[in-house]
Amino acid sequence: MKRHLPWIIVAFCGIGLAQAGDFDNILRGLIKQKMQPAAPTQPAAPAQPVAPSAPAAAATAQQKPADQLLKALLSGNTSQEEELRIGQQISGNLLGAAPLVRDDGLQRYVNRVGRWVALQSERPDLPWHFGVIESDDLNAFAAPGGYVFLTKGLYKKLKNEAELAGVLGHEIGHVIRKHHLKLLQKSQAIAALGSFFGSKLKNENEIVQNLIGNGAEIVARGLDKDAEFEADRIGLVLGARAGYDAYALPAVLAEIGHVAKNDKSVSLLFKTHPLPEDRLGQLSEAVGERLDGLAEGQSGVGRFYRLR
Amino acid sequence: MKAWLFLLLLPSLALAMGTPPQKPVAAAPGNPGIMLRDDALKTSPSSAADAVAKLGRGDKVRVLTSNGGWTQVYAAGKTGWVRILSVKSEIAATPDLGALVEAGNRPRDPGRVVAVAGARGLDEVELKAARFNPDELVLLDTYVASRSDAEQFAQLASLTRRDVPYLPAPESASQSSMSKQP
Repeated sequence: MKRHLPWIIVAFCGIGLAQAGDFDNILRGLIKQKMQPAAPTQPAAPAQPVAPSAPAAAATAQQKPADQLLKALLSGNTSQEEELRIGQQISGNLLGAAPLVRDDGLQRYVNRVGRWVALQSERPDLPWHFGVIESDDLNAFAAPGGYVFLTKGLYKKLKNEAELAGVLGHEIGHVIRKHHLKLLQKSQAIAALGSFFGSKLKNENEIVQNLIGNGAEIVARGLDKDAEFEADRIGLVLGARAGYDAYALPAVLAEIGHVAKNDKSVSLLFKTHPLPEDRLGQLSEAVGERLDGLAEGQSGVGRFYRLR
Repeated sequence: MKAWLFLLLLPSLALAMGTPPQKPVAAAPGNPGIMLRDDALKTSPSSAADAVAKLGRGDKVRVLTSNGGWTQVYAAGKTGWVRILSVKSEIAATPDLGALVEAGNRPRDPGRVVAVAGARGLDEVELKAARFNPDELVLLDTYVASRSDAEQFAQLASLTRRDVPYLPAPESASQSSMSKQP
């Protein structure tokens, strides 16, 4: 079974491993923030991300919301705000491992392309964030609530804006279909069952601990490969809807397929995704003749932001 | 006399140095491939280009190179272009040296050596050890593009919305809860 996107979980277990004691505080802080009524006009942007060091005010009183979050995850009824909190936490952790490339022009460019592609989806008004992160690996990541990242290594492989749109579209696909939330949800279900059949009844803290423990398990498992194939189909379609060359994402996949399988730069990517050949095969089958009538899209090569 | 001989040699020299051979001579060019669907063999990588032949699903071809969403193939004595999704390379991922070296450490000029020496990966261990970085999140926030910003940006490049329905999962794909819409 193909493992995928462990990083969401990785993020969780990262918390577990690196800051185990802080996790409750983080979660409490997050939930607390969530409970505070946000101004309706204010997009749920993480202007004030909760640092792990945030004082855990009223520790006991804040346990209820943690329970609520778990329940929400379990039932699959995570609110957009809860989704954002999770995504924000994961993104903050990811950026802790690989910070943003210090190039304002690049980051703004990627956000504009990404937002334009996301506008073609059924969740156009999520507070979408896109970022290029410092890593020579070839990889891209998504987190719930509209966070999308790609590595500098992958960005450098891209030849034009259409290819960027395709890559971002794939990650947008994970977000809009809530692939990672579902993954977490699965682990929650296991955790809850474990708790239920376990002897003592759990308080919220113990549930959270359970969550962390299970998170580590999921790292080894990752996303279902069907979720990856689905994200490919969505990425291709969103790019095409946005006016780009529909075949740009396949071109990126083919390019990645040319990298030696044992190359270090693709080890995590290939561990967590089906191989490019398989993805291309699936896309080919899914597309069939469906795009034959579609006018040629744009490559956007002219204004593609090139990294030095 | 000598000059005359040299002139005789010229054409073959030019041939040897010219574009890649388009006919299989000793060894067939490119890699083996197979057509996944019927498609027109085009003279250039563009849907507007003329078709030089019609290829059928299952046809054996030689895959030469690619250009964006197009793949150059040699089939039935002709060279041309088909859509990238119409053909499958049968040799999985021939590691081409360029990509390989590029993916690894390629100190192309001395100035880059320093950067390359610190080549950053992003593996599970690093991700696991990652610590929450609120400052990066704040920075990320400053790059957000609004809806109107993005729309204006698209307009600048004459990108226009198109109606393209989502693609259903192919029948061969195993169905899982992941593939279904929430």
